[in-house]
Parts: sequence; C-alpha cells; structure tokens
Amino acid sequence: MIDLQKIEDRFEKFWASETAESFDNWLAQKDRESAKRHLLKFFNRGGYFTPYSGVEGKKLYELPTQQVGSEGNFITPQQSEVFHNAA
Amino acid sequence: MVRTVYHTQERRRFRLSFPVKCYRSDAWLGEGYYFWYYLDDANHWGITSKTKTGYYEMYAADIDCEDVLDTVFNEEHYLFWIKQIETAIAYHVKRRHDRQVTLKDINDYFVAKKLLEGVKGVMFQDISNNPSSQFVGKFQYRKRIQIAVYDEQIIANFVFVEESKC
Repeated sequence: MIDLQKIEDRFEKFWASETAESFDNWLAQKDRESAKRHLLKFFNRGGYFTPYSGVEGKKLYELPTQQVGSEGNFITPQQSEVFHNAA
Repeated sequence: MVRTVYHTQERRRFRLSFPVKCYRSDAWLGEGYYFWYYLDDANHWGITSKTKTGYYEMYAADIDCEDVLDTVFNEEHYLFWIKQIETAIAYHVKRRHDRQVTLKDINDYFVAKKLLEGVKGVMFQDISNNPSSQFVGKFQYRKRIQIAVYDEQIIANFVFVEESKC
C-alpha cells in the first residue's frame, strides 16, 4: 500500500529547496542523452546526416534538441550517395 | 488489487514475451511500460498510432496495483498528484520560454529525483478521441485510462490477445 503521507512529505521537502538551476541542469543533460540516443538509432538504421540541419542558416548542433531528427535534418543513405558524389 | 490491462504494439516478426518500455518524448507519464485500462482504447491506439507495419498487436497483462498511484479512482491520490504537477508548472514550466517543458519532463524529473520511491506506477485518465466513447453526441461518458508502470516486477501474465490491420 502506498504511504501517501510519506511521499507528500518528501515532495514538500523537495519543493522547499528546489532551484531553477537544478531543474535546468537536469533538463540539459536529459536533452543531450536523448539526442545521442536518437542519433545512435538513426545510424543503426544505416543513415547519415548532413553538416547542415535543413533549417535555413542553422547547423545541426545549433538546433534545439526537439528539432534534431525531425524531418529535414537527416538524409537517407541513397540521398547521402548523391550528396557525396556531388561534393 | 490486481487489474488486467492492455498493451498495444506494431506487429513485428516475433510475438512479444514482455511489454516494450516507452521512451517517446510524448510519453506523458514518463518512461515506463504503458497499458490501457480498456481493450477498446488499446484497439483504438493500434489503429491510430501503431501503424508502421500495417498491423498491430494487443497483449493483456495483470498489474499488481497495490503500489500504483491511483489518480483515477482515489481522490486523495488525484489531489496529491495535481498539486505536484501544478507546483512544477509554477516553478519550472512557466519560466522556460526557450524550451517547452512537457508533462513527461516533469514526471521524469520526479523519478530522477527519487521523489516517487515506493510508487511503482501511475494510473491516469485523459480525454479520449475514441469515437466509441462518444455514443451520446460528443459527450464522453467513459474515461480513457492509462497505467504507466515503472517497476516491471508488478507486471505478470503477459499474453497475446489478438492482432489486427490498421
């Protein structure tokens, strides 16, 4: 059985000392890990990515994490071949 | 209390022997094993969201809900949960204009900070867009309920139910 009072006390204590910095650092770290996982998944499927993001004027690493991996950031292996041949 | 609930996945080459953990960025109760309370909602989820292979599968499992935070049927749990989410919104969501903080972020944060120690899952209700919940005009008479399980030890008797075309 859940001891709600115990959990509530834990939350109370937590909120009393919570800072913006603590949350922001955690979120930034989480976003980095999520982007890494996304890229690994993409590479494991045999994909490549261009140095450009698909968003005008932005490099891939300049994008907010949510946009990494969204349509237009990546190219397929077939497109990659065309890209390298052209380069 | 043990509840029989339902898990939906795309049909793959092999049948599952255990549910798939969800890491989706819109998994709003955080990373965990997701189940539907009603088979009908599991079915609707397959038709609308598990379309990659053209077919989806539904599985059933028994969840020991003894240590699940029940925000659907337990008022005390519901009010506690809402209070924490709203505090998080006031502290962190409103001030971040550069990056939208999601409900998943908040729930993941609670787990990362070990605030939910002793809580092995969360049961929650949202608004369904399943037409079969709207027999009375647009009035949704039935709750759409999900359980996110954080501790796989409370999942038992995971079995295949049926597959269907999207």
